[in-house]
Parts: sequence; structure tokens; C-alpha cells
Amino acid sequence: MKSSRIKRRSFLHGVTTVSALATFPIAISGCQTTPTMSAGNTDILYWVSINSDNTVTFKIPQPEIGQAATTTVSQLLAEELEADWDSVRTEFYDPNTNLDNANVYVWTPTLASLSANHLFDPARTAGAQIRAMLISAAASSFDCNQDELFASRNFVHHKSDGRKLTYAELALAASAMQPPGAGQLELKTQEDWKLIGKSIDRLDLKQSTHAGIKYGIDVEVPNMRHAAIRQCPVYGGRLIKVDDSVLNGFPGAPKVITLKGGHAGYNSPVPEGEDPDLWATPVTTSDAVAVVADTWWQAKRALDALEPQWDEGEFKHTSSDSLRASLSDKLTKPLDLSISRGDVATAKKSAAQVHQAEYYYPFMDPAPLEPLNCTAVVNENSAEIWAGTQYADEAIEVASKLTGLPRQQIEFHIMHSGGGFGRRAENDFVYQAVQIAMAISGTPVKLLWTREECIRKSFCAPLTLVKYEGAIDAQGEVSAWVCRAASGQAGDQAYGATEFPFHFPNSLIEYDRSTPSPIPFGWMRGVGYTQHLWMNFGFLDELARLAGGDPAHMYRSLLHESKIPLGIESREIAVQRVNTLRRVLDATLELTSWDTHKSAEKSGRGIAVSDTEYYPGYGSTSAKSAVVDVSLTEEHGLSINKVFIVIDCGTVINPDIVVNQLEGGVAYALTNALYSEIVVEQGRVEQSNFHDYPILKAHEMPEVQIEILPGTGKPLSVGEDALPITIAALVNAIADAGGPRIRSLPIKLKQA
Amino acid sequence: MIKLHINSKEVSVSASEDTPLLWVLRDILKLNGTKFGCGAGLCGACTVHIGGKAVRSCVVPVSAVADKAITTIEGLSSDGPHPVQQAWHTHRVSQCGYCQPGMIMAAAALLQNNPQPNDKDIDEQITNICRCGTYPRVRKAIKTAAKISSGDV
Repeated sequence: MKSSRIKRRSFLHGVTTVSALATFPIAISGCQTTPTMSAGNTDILYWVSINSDNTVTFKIPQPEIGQAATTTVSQLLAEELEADWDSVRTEFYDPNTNLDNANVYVWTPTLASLSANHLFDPARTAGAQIRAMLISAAASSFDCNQDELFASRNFVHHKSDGRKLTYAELALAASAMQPPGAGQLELKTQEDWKLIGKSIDRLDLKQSTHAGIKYGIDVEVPNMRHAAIRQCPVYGGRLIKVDDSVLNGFPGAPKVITLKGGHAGYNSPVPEGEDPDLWATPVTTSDAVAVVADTWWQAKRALDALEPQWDEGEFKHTSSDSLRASLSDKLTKPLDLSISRGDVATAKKSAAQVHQAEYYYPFMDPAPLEPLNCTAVVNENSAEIWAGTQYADEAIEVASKLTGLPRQQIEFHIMHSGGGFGRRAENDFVYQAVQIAMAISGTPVKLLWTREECIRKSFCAPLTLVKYEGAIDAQGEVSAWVCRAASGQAGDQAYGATEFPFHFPNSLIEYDRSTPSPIPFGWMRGVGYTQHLWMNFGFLDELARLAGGDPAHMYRSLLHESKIPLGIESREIAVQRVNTLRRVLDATLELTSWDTHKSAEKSGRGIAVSDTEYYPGYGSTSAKSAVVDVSLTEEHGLSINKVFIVIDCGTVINPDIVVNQLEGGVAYALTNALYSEIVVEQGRVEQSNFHDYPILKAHEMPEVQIEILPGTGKPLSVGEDALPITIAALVNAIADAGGPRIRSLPIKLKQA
Repeated sequence: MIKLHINSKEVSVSASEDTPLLWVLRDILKLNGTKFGCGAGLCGACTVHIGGKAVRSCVVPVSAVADKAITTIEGLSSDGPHPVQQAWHTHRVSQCGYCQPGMIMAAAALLQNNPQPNDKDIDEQITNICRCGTYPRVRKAIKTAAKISSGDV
């Protein structure tokens, strides 16, 4: 193998750095803990507060965007703490606590479906350490050995004499105990789990049915004003001037505030030693005009009356089509990242068939339903911020830089998010709200974007063009695989092309993501795999059909140790990968009666199987497959009849939450596949709301059947996992039904 | 001042006549359970009942509903959870939860006018957007709610 760039970059290298820093940070932090008392409640090791009424409050180390980390992390903590589940309360972690204590919460951004994987050991360890400290305190109090005691449902009991103390009674003494190191702890084994593995109701379930969840948009602060915002419609544009005299006489005392565009941090942690501007992409905002008024409607009406003049900058003549043309041109030359194995040219010469195709992915907006918002008040020596963000540690840094206040003088309240899907990894709306609050220092202000602003000024999955070439030899085997991809400027998503788990004797994979883009890059649910997996499977399906075989059988034969070239880097990992995927594929073929199933006329079935690994051995992602059944009715109307998902996601913390996430992932995948396209013309986004950027609705939702295979080891990814495989299986089902070969999203077939 | 009948109470609000009901509910009356999603009547997050019918409050000027009975999620049930809320709990419908107040209000209005809806009725009447994709559970929960309402559960 030769590679033009030795150092592989990957989305999640940052995580390894972080984890290595503090695999079990609780013990480290515990030594530094000063017990804190507030209203009779005692914080222990930053993770848990034991309350005076003998309930417990868990600090959830992740923003909640619907992925249910609040519940699953609580299951982990409560399991080892031996907490009474009915006594569990939760609050979101404080970013300052994390940043001041060597990343004590280990993995705080809600990104890349990592919460269960990265918090499985830390949360259980924290629970076990705190339990040990409570037992230790009880032993002192009872003047007995610790092994005479046990913890259960917020009490420490003496095994033989019936004495017991509540956690609340023990908390203060316990918080002064030295926490046991990770090596001295014995975590419970699976047979003893009472909470992990159970489909416990989400902790916010009742609130969700009674409008009791407080999202960022629901924040109310005394004397708060409201802000509406309009940014330069062209990315990176500057404000020339705006005349605010037209607002004379408008109700609500509207005040115009102009905002400078600038650098609002990054949208994911950046590994040590990497250049953040190359590794990810900086979150850069355009200039904007905001209006502050007594109510949001008054602010919006006033804003609508303004006619700001913009210098539209470098992208004012750029369109989706012109970017596509630039990428197409780029693909005529060798690309930045190039990984070559074997000899593609020779394989092509001796091939029975050579096939080429071009695949296209448009810009897509993640479009969470709660419009972006942030509430802030900035005083001379302090600030307070409330926001639903996926990356609060960065948000507080952004606010600190803007205000010049040390982080510790800023209080940041993480609010529930009405969806995120990547969009709230950018803290551009926090950056703007803090600027507005600075302009009206001392007065709290809630900034809320319109849906139109959300769609026009999003951070999108990048527009991507991929050229494939494949060779099939005389035996009907794929002898060469060429996948050359170019996207608009983006964070590193090359793994979508390079980490395709299938290997071929001769291959060339190239990637470039440097072309300036009229829409800034953002991670979107499923990230690089959502963009690339359907293309990879689409082209592989094309080759399978040319070779005349059943695609599923081709995948099965390729998912074999013998197909993995000798001498490649990390070969053992590649072997383990294909063995796992083959097992999942076999389970899927059985579940769906693949070999005996006969599709009706004008109906078809597609299949895809993959993990979503970011680089060899990362090991955080599930192995999963999708089968999609479609029929094409009169005049090419597409009907999606059923979707099967089979997954091995390691240890399952809460099966029903896994099912719910996968069902929802199918819906999200179908929206991507059928509808999502942000089109740029003259530098501007053409779409504006859900009429021209539609989201799948209930009547379009197919039946979904999910099978969770028994898994072991750490929990693996779930939140994003249904997306890549569902889109891949869908495009191949359409081909199987005799429909057109889909090489561009969204699929422009009439819906049945 | 505009007089409104909301959740069986009469309230007077000061707002320009063209202010959408949604913003009167949220910013003036602090009834924040009704959500803003699109501002164009497209997503249903702001669904309330007006005269027993599901209406998207982001496109209804407050002046148009002065004499009508308005019910928001906060006033859906005065005696314990509404059958729709019970069914939502049974099927653990929500993910991020943001669309759920509007979805629940749409489902409650559907059942009020059609106590035993079939799949086609649900398809036609439940057009709210759930970005998390809880649709399979929404469908099941509506059927369960119908059973709870009719005493079958």
C-alpha cells in the first residue's frame, strides 16, 4: 500500500486523546474534591449530589438532544451506586466543572453516537466509587468492617445486626473519604445488573407528554427582551449599512444591533497536535442585523421592515452547480489523499467488464425542529447563558473570548434541545446572542432564529461528487475498485470512502475536501457514512448485477478473511470486522428469508451491511444491516413498504431506547433519501421552510422491524446507525424493482 | 386589549391584532408548552384546539380567535392525564420531545371527532412533523388512546 499522506486524519482522533488523558478520571478528581454543601445536598466526585431528602441528583455529562443519554447514563450510575431508581433526579453538567477538572466527565459533546460507549466505564466507576465512599463512611459510623455492610436503594445496611443509615446521613462524611482507585474497584457483573439492560422508561417521559421539558426556547428570565436576527444571505458577507429610522413608531421599543461575523469556535474537539482549521473547519458566521424588542413577534416585525445593504463577498456568484463543476474538474487530477493497493490498471486490462459511474450528494441541513436560540445576560463582571447546544464546553469558551470574562465568571445552563442531529455542534447562535447581550449590557435577551434563517444559514453536510470505476474479471469477481471523491470544504469525512469494510484485490481511493464552499460545513447525523455508504453500496450493487449474481451473496463472499489483502495495515482488525459483519449479514438473511423471498412484480428488495468505523480499531460503532422492500407503482411511483434493521450494538443499556433510536433513524434516512436538498444559487440558499425542504410525515413511514443481536463488551453506537444502511438498501431496492439506478440524492421519483 | 378564552379561563392581552396566537400564548401568557417550529403552519408544533378543532396557532392572528374557546396542551386535561397522554406514555413515544405537545393536541382532536380512527384516518389527519421520527409509535399510541377512551383498556 502506498499513501500520499502518512498521517491519517479522522473525526474522532480527538477522542482517543481525551480518553487517554483520563480513562478513569473520577479517581483523579476525587483526590481534589472539596466537599460542597448546598441546601443540605452534598456533591460527591462531581457526578452525583446526595440530597437531604435522600434522593440523588445525577450530573448528566452530555447535552440531551433526544438520544436519551439522561436516562442511559443514569442507569449506569444508579446501577453501581445502588440508587433507588425512583429517587433519581438529573441535571446537566456544568461545563466549567468539566474544564476546570481535567475533563472529569470524559466525553461531554453530543457527537458521533458516543455517549454510551465512552461513558459506560466512567459512569459505572463513578457510581461504584461513590458507593464505596458511602460504605466507608458507614463503617466508621458503625465502627465495623466494610465487608459487614452492603448498599441498597439509598441505604447502607449492616448485614447481620439490622443497623442502617441513609445515603443522605452518610453523604457529608463520605464526600471526605478517599475514593478507591479504579484498580481497587470491582464493578458488578452482568448477572447482577438490575437496571442495565432493562427497558426502563425515559426519565423525561412523563414531562414529554405534559409539555414539561424546558427547552432553550422556553427560558424565561425577569426583564428579558427578545431578539430576532437576519444574517447576510451569502456566506461570509459583510454589512454595509442599515437604516434604523424606519422603525420609528414600531411597537415594542425595537432597537437595532449590528453583529460582526467571525469565528465562533469549532464544531468538535480537535486532537492535540492537529491544526484545528485543517482538521475540522472553524465555525464562521456572516455579519448580521438583530432587532431587540419587548416580544419576539415585535422584534421580527421590526426586522422585516429593515433593508440592510450587504457586501456579499466571495461567494455571491457561487451556486451548487458551479461547485459541482469545480469538483468535477478537481476529479480530473490526482487528489490530496490517495490510497492505492495492487495494480488497478493491469486489473482493468484483463477485466471481462469495466464499469464507471458518478454519484452525487447535495448540501443537507440537519434541521432540528426547535429553531436555534440562546438566552444571555452580560454584566460588567459576569455573564449567564442558557442554550441547547451539543457542545457546551466550546460554547462557554466562545462566550469567554467574546466578553473577555474568564470562563469561571460565566454561568452556563445547558437546556434540553429540540433535536440536534449535528446542527447544535456549531455554537454560532451562542456567539450571536452573547454579542447582542453585550450591546445591551445588564439586560437579559433571548435570541431566536426563524425557520427561514435556520434553513438559509445552516452548517450543512457537504456537497460531494464521487467517481467510481470497477472491473469484473472472467470469474465474475470484482478485481478492481476505484472511488475518487471531492467535496466542498469540510471536516474530515474521508473515512466514508476509505473505511468501507469491503476489500478488493486492486483499489484506488482518493479524497479531496479543500474546494471553497458557499455553505459552511457541519457534521450531520451519520456524518461521512451517511454521505458515502449508499454510494459505495450503490456502485457495488451495480457491479454485482453486471456480474450476474445476487448482491447479498456477493457481499457475503467479500466479507471473508480470504478477501483481505495480506500485508495491509491493521489486518487483524479488518479480519475481525468482516467476521462480525458476516455474522450480522447471516442473521439478516435469515430474518428476512432472503434466499426464499420472491418480490412481486415491480417490487424489489435491497440490502446493506456495515459498521461505521472512523479508522481501524476505533471500535465505537455497531455492526448493522438494513433490508428495504419497495414497490414501484404506476408511473414510477415509489412505495417503501418495509424496513428491517439488524444490529449488534454490544452491551445494551436500554433495549427500547435502542429500538426507538433506530426507528427514528429510519425516518431520518428516508427524509435524506427522498427530500433533503439545499440548493445554492447566486450564493443564496433557495429553500426556506418545510414546504421546500420537506421532512417525512407519518403517512410515509413504512413498517420497521428491528432485531437486536446479543452483544457483549462496551455499548456501541446507535443514534446515527440506521441512516447509512437504510439509504443504501433503499437505492438498491429501487434498482431491484426495475426502477432507475439512483446515483444522486434526493431520489426524484414520484411518491406513491 | 383583546379578550381570550384559554383553558376555560378568560384573559385579556395587549397585543397588535395581527400577532399570531402562538406568540400571545408563549411570550405574553407564558404558556410555553405550545412550540414554535416553522411559523408557517407547516410542522404542527404549535397545534392547539380552537372550538375543538386542531389549529396551527403560528398562522392564526389573535384577533381572529377572540370569541372562541382555545385549549392548549396545558389545559388538555383537568383530571389526570388525557387518554392520549396515557397512551403516549405506554408506547414511550417521545425522543427529543419537542414536537410532542403539538402531536398530542393533533391526536386528541382527531379522537374527539373520530373515536375509532383507522390507519387512513391517521394518515390524513396527523400531518405534524416529528424530526426524530417517532411516527410508528405515534400510530400505535393513537390506537391505544382510542381504546382507553372507549373503555377497552
